[in-house]
This record gives sequence, structure tokens and C-alpha cells, in this order.
Amino acid sequence: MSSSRVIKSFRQLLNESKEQSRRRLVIEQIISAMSLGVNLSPLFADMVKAAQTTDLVQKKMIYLYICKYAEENKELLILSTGTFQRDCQSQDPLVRGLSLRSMSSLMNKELVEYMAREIKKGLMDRSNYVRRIAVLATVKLFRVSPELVLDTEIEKKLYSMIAEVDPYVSINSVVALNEILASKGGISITQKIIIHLLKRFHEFTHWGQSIVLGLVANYAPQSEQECLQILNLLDNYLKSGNTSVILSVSKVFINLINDLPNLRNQIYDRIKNPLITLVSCSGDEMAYPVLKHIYLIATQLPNLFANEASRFFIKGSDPTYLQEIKIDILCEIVNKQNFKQIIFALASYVINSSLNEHISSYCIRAIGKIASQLSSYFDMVIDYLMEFIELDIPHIVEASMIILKDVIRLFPEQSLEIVLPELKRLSEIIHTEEAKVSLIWILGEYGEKIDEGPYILEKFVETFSEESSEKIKLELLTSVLKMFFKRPPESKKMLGVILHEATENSNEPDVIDRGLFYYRLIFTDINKTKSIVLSEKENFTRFTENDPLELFEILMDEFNTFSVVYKKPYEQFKRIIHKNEEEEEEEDDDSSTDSSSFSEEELLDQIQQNVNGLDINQQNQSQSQNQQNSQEEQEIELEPKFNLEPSEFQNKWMNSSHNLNFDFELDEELDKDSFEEILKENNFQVMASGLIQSTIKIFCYGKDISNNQIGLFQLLITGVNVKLNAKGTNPQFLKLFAEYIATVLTE
Amino acid sequence: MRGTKKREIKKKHSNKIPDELGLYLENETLKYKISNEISEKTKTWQVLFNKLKDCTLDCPPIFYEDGVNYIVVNAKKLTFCFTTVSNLSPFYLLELLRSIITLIKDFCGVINEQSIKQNFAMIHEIIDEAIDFGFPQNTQSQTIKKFVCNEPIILQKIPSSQKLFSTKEKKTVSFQATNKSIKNKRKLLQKKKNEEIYIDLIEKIVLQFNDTGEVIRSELNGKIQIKSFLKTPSHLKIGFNKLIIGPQDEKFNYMEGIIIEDCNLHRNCDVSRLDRENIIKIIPPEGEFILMNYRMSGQSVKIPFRIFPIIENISKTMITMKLKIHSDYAEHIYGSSVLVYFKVPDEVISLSYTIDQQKKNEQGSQQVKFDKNQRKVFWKIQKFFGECEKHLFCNLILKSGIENIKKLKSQIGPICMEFEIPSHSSSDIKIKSIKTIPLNNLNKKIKNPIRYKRNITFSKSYFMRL
Repeated sequence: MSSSRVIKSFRQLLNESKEQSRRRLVIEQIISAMSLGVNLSPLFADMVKAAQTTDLVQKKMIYLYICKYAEENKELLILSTGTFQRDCQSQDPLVRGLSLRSMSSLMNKELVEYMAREIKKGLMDRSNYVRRIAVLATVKLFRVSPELVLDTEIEKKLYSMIAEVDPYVSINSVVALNEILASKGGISITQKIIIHLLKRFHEFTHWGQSIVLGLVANYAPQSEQECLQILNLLDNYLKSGNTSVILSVSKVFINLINDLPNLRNQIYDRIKNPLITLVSCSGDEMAYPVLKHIYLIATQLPNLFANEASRFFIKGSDPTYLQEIKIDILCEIVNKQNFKQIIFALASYVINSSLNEHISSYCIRAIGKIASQLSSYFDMVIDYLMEFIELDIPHIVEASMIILKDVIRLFPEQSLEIVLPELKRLSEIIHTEEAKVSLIWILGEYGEKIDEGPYILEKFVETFSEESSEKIKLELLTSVLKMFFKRPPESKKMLGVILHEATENSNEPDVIDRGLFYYRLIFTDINKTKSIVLSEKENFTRFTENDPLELFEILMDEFNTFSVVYKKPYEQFKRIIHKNEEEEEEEDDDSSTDSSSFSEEELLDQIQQNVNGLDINQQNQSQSQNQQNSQEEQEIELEPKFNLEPSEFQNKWMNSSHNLNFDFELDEELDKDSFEEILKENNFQVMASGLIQSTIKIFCYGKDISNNQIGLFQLLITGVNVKLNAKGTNPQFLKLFAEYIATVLTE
Repeated sequence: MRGTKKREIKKKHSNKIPDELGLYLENETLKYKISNEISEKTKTWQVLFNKLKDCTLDCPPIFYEDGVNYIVVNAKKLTFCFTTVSNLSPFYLLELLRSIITLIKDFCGVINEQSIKQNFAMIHEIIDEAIDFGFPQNTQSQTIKKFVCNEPIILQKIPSSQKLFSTKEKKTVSFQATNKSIKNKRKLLQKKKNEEIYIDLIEKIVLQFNDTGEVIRSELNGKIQIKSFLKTPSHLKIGFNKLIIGPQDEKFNYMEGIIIEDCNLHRNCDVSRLDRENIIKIIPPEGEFILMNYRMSGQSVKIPFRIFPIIENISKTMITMKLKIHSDYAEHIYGSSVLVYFKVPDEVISLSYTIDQQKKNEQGSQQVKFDKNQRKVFWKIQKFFGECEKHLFCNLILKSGIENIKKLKSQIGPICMEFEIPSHSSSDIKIKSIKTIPLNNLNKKIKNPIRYKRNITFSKSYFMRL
């Protein structure tokens, strides 16, 4: 495989590079290639060997590598334990922490004993950095062998560490206990712990605060007094700059309502404003889950947001996912006061062409939904729907058709006389399945009331054999039969045709089935058939398609989780894993990492180039580094009394091997003299200067002390714009030099 | 996310984040992995890529597939993603992902494909320090800095044409000036003890007029964003004009000042002296952060542009229309790339227009275009100075054989505007002073840092229905 080429060159580079800085670059390249998805697992032994370095930068990268490929090199892992253990004894807490973190992340069964020993030591370490890493390492240990952690001194130790002064150690202990005791329902929340954590709430990071709030949400305060204390303490954090904290506080508040039912409205009022602020101020991605949560609250308390309807109007820049949820919210918060405003807004989105078709259909559906909620305003709704139908825009007409059907089902008396006259025209425009089904249903149910009713149906019957949609065929069968009982003379022929087509020439079993069923029914007892087909319909007020109310109660319990975003309880989207599947999956993963698909060739070539390029760069760099004697710091310091003869300057200017152009801007305009002054102050030597129209031209040079390089440059300054042309022999130095000049001048 | 253009997807972190509420991960790969892989082989990547590709509409930032939850954030054309199988708080993860992005930006200077590729090793290190085994630790650039050993590789400067802010004003600096890494030993600046702080006031405005020109909806969302390169820990005191924070209550009616309806604040932020002295105090952390998000609405929002359309005549062959835009802000500043556009009926086949040039020297600064496919007229004004008016007269020529003239009128509009006005704040919030006081006063000789303040107003949604 071609990746062996890359591995070979990396191995070679690793072995050849003796200088620390050079090794560092090689390892950096390895990490880079690894991150790009090249499998560098074969280098494992070499990297373990390299881990013995004292250079922390290299060490960190090597440990990263080891953690990544540990699984594939289990047998070689044992080699690395020596290094890990030695590093755990290091004087430097950074090294101790790093080593402990990496070692525990390997989560290898073989290393469990080493791990446990070092973790116990780490928990007692004098550095809090190491301690906080050790605390989390217990979770990793727990995953590998639970018996080493559960009900041992480690567990006890963790409880005591919650009280530590260092906020990270404290929070990590809470987190770790929660993980370890997950099967027992997490950390046992006592009043003592809660009071302790809330007292130092401000010390924690946002993440720590969110975690503490998660505990508080599950905590049952023992008295009303305590509830109020918690409320008052957390109230300030509703203004937090972190969304997670705000929502976690909201959850605590909502949970406290159970204890303080009389404060219900006040509490919701408190969280209302922060949520609205988040919608508009926190960016589209954040606004999405916030809106989902507002929607949920609105299902419980529709009036809370009723006065804020305009906040949920669609803005031109909103992505589709925000538009949908905003429309959902508008449907929930609609009431008698804001009804006109909301319906008007929705209607305007329908005809707004900058929104896509999906959204305009969505709005029409929303309008229908509102009609079912506020029956007293339904005539206004029907006016809008009729207006849409007149627009002759196919997707709008079709969506309106579907909603009209629902409206007729809800309010037949009021709506029929408006809708029926339009049916003939509509039958010629609509094309989609659902819209046609709706139209045919209306015709079957009420078509007899208009003269041309049977004839419209007949048009559909004529094309029955060409119809590909099963749904339309079934609906048509039923509707024709209904029409037959109401207007027999006009429908008799049509019924014959359709029954014949359905039973003889159809491919769909359901259609044949229903055709035969009607056929036999009619022949058995025609009067009974009539009473069956035209049975009275019960009045109803709520569609079963609407979301069940219980769902929202479950979701309120799962407030501030993904459930609210998906509008599904966790049970419904939880990952179900079968053991076998999991194993297979892993195998799949492995095999796919080996196979060289897509443009691996390309990628490898690129890396190869990088590796090769590294050689050249490296040589240059090591040269300059030799001269410089310092390791990496490349800073410029100019020799104060350096001098060049004009002829020498000219000579160098003409014969310089490298040339660099660099443009930048000054903060404010300066005159020629002040430029020269600045340059001289910084040990540059001015060769010549002049003023051509409004452009200042300066020739200048300087010599760097540390690496003996001379740089020459020309400045052309017009107003605040500066054109810099620098010349010298070393391109890297030139770049630094140019940047230095720019910094000096812009200061 | 729209379109079929192939996008580079960076997966910053494909780890299953364990639940802090104690829902543990059954049968999950127990190992903590960060992968910066962009290979198509990883499953996460595949799911994500397909989702982005398949979504004909915008892909929601949170979705699930196969029981795995995906949290997706876009930053500068790159996509960052977290996955988890636990039912966590989406806000927690979104904020965490954003913090990671900010961290990377703080350390690399800029976020783009190149800078990430060049700094993989360092990014690994940062993420390792920020998140241990899926549990967030420390996500502040300042504190994390001492644990990170790799040096950032800084990209070449961006050509000056990409600047966001105007260079007219003396105090403004190009936007790229902030594309610095907080950790860059090689920077020559350090030697000179050059300290800088940037304070940006960015406001977005939502405005809707009805057909008579009345404002029926006005909202403003603003943020104060700070990027600090201060090396000596200092107090930062920002002086404002009179701000009142709180809901619009009756008790505020007699108070003078700018009423902010609601806001959220950075955790270090001290507003206790806002009431009396109009000062917000903070010890700024290094790097970029948001001091305050705020929103206001109603009459507190100053309206930068007013639109006056007159539909003069509709005949069977032509619609004549007059459009006047009045700018309502200080004379010396100007809105740049102001775009006015409106939809016209399907029956329009061509357009003739005249622009009223107020000043002769403004040639070429305005353009009018009729886009047949979109049925829209676009009117572009390069520089729109304050306190002036622009006029557009246009004749929309119709195709022959139209009967229903009434219907035509309802198909004109809405008139929308897009613009940005540098150096202007529609809320009237002004930063009056910026002071820094070093924490340890012993060291009094420290030079004052260079302080930059910039403000700009953007249109988020600005239109008039006819």
C-alpha cells in the first residue's frame, strides 16, 4: 500500500533527526498526517521510543499519538508503561498531569494495575492540576474495571474532594461520582452538598455551574424557605452570558414550581425575558433550541408569550429551521387579542416569494390549525384561504385545498357556500396527490349541492385507468358511490365504469378489494349500502393528528435536553445497541481504515511533499539557527552604529537575491521628518529620502545583530498607505525584517 | 448550507460526551478520541456530510441519526460538529462547541482551513486541555495558555480589500488587525510592550413599515464584543452615555437615557456602577469575548432609512413608480453597499428608470438592475451619506393583453433594504471612554494600551409592505 512510503520516510526522519527542534517538526508532521486520516499505526514502536524525550512539546504530541493508536498496538503498549511511570514522578506538575491523563485514557485492561496505583497517588498530589486530572481518571478506571472504584476508598475520597478549595477539583469530583454511581442514580444529593456547591457557585466555570444546576434541579428542598432561597440566589444567573447556565436555571425554576404552585406565574415571568433575549441575540444556531423550548413552554402557558407575538415573526435572514419553529410558536400563542396580527403575518409569508414553497405551505397549514383553535374567527381564515386559491400559484392552491377540507369538516355550514362554487376551477389546477384526495373527498361528501358536482367527478373517473396513485383511486371509488346515492341519474353510468375499472383493470390489491366489496354490497342490499355509505358524521373539535397533550408533560420533565428539540421523549430516539451489532460495527470501522478509498493517493502525495519540503525547510532553518545560536526565537535587534557607504548600498540594492513587497497602513498620517526620526530611533539608517508630489520616498537599511543579516528597503508613503520594498539575501529574514519595520512604523 | 457546492467539513471532535447527569454510556467505545479527520471513512463524517448534502432546506444545527445526536456549528465556511449518545442539554453542547471554536480562533489568529491544517498539533493540545474525557475543564484562552506548548503558525496577512470597517476615520483600524494569536512569542510586538484592546459595538436592526410608512415593528439586537491583547492584568472601565437596563415600565418614563429591554452579560462584568456613573467594569480575559448582548425595541431604535414609495399610475401597458429613500443619521458618515430591492408582477417585461443625482460628483455610485428571473428590481447605492435623499423613478413596462389591473398592484413589493453603516449605532449607545488600570498599582509606569473602538449597524430585516 502506498502509505508505507509515507511511513518509511517518517521513520527515516525520526531516526535521523537528532536536534530537538528538528524532531519536533517531524513529530508535528506526523500528527498532521494522522489528523488528515492517514493510518500511521505502524510507527508505534518508533514513537514509543521517541517518548523518552524531555521536551514537553514533543512529549505531548507523542502521547497524543500513542492514545490514538493504542488499540491497534496492544502488544506494544507495555513498552510505553515505563515512560508513563517515570513521567508520573516528574518534578513538573504539567508532565505528571499529562502522563496520568494519557495513561488513563488508554483504558487498557493490562495496564489497570499501573493505572490504579498512579491514580491513587494522583489524588493525593500536591498540585491541583494533577488532582483534577486524577479525579477524572477514576472514571476511566471505572469503565475498565468497576470493582476497583466502586465501594472502595477511591469513592470515599471523591466525596471528600468535593469540599476542596480548587473549583476544578471540586466540580470534577461531582462529575466523576455522578458517572461512577450512574447505575445507582448518580451522586447522592444531600442538603449539605447542595449548600456547599451553591455557596461557591460564582467560582465555577460555566460548565461547572451547569453541572451544579443539574444537581439542584433534581434536589428536593426541604422547606418553602429553602425553595425561596434557591430562587433568589439563582435569579441573577438568568442574566448570565452563557446560554447553558440560563437554561439550567430555568429548569431549576420550573422544577421548583411543584413546591411553590402559587408562584407559578411569577416564576415563568422571570424566565420569559431572558429566553426572548436569547432568541434575538445569540445567533441562529442557539436560537433554534431556545425557540423549541419556548414552544414547549407555550404549550403549557399559551398566554405567557401572547404579547410578544412579534418576536416570533419571520425575518428575511432566518434559516428554514427557525422559520418552521417560529410558525409553530405563533400557532400556540394565538389568542383573541393577537389573532389578527398573527394571521396577517402568516398570510403575508404565504405570498412572500422570498420564502420557499415549503414554508408557504407550512403557513397555510398553520392558518388552518388556528382556525380550529379559534372557531369564532374562522370566517377571516376562510377569506384568506379563498384569496390564496385565487392566486393561481400551484403549491399555494394545493396546500390551501388540503386545509379547506379540514375547515369544511369542522364548520360545514359556514364554509360550504363559499367553497363549493370554486371546486370546478380548482379541479383543473391541482396536481398533487394530497390535494386531489381532499378535493375528491369534498365532492363525495357535498358535491351534490352544486349542479356540476357529478360532472367534475366524472372527469376524474375518465382518467381512472391512467391514475397511478392508489390513494386517489380509493377516495374516488368511495366518492362516486356516495354521489350515486345522492344524484343517481347523473352518476349511474360513472359508477358502472369505475367499478369495472377497479375490479377488472387494476393492479393494486386494495383497489380491487374495495371495488369488489362495493360491488357485492350493492347487489346484496342497496338500501343498507346507502345507510352505511352515507352514515351520519359525529361533530368533532380536535384533530387526532394534533400532538397528544401528555407528550408535552413528558417533555416538560425532560426540559433542557434534546428531547425538547426533537419533540420526542428520550425513549423514542435513544440508541439501541445489540452487542453483536456493535462488534460488527467496530470491525467495519477497522476494515475501512485500512482500505484505501477515495483520493488517498492524492493525500499521500501531499504529505510526501510536506515531508520532503520539511527537509529543505529544515536545512534552511537549521542553518540560520546555527548562526543564531538560539533555539527558536527569531527576533530582530538592529546594530546601532552600523554604516554603509552609498556605493555599497547601491551595489547591494542591485544585487540582492531576494525581494519582498509588503503593503500596510498606518494609524495616522505623518510627515517625512517624523518618519526619519522614528526609523533612527529604532536603529535604522536612512540612506536617502525625498518628497515626490505627496508621496514620501525613503531608502533605508539596517543590520541585525543576532544573525548578521543586512536588510535594505525602500518606503513609499502616500497618506496612510505604505508600500515597502525590502531586499536581502535570506527570504525568512526578509519577512521578519519587513514585519518589524511595519510594527515600528504603525506604533 | 444551500446549494451543491462541496464544502470542507472539519470534524473537530467525534467523541461521545458522557452525561453529567449520570446517564452512562452503555456499550460505547470507552475511549476518548478526538479526531480531526476529514477522511470520508469515519461514520460521523459520512452522516454529517450526507445530511448537509441532502438537506434541500437549511440543515438544523441539532439532529439525530441512529441514536447519535449531532450538534453542528458553522464558522467561517467550516463546519464543526460534536456528537453524543446521551440526552444532554443542547445548550451546554452548543456553548461548548462555540468555546472550542473561539479558543482555536484565539490561538490561531484566524479560523480557516489553512490555519487549522497548519496547527493540528496545537489544536489537539488545546482540546486536550479544554475537554478531558468529554468533560469540559477550562475553556478560557487566558488560563489555558500556560498549558499549551506548541507555537501557532500564523497565516500571511489578508489582502487589505477584505476589510470590514471603513478607514476614513482616524481611530479605526482594519479588521484584520484583530487576526492575531494571543499566543505568539515571535510577534515582535511583545518586545515593545505594545498592548491593544478592541471594543466593537455591533448592532443589527429589524424594521418593518406598513404601506403608510408607519413603523409597525422595530427591534434592535446588539452586542459589545471585546478582543483583548492586554498583557498586564488590568481593570477595564468603559464609560457609556446613560443606559437604563430593564423592561419598559412606567417608572422609567421620566428617566432620560437609552432603555435596554433586556441583556445578558459576561460573567466578569460589573454593572453596579452603571446606574450612577454609567460605567461598566471588567477584568478582561485575554482573547475575544462578548461583554454584553442586548436588545431593545419600539421607539428607542433610531431609524436610519425611511422609504417613501409612490405608485403613480397603473395602466395596461406600464406601471410608473417613484421611490424616495431618506437617510436619517449624521451627515459625515455613510451607509455602504446599500441595496434596495422589490418584487414586481410577473407581467413586467422591462424597466426604464432615471436616478436623481443630487450631486454631480456622485457618478457611477448608483446602479439599477432588473432581474427577469427573480422578478426583482435592484437599486444599489455605493455610498449613502447621512441627511440626504435618493430618488428613483421607474417605468415598469408590461406585456400586452392584461385585463386585471387591480391584481397587479398587490404584486408589487415588499420593498426591502440591506445595508451596513459603519461608525453609527442605531441604539445611540456610545462608548464615551475606555480606561485601563493595572491591577497592581505599584507598577505605575506602564504605558496606556492602544484602545480601539468601532461601531457598525447592519440590517437584519428591513422592509416595507405595500
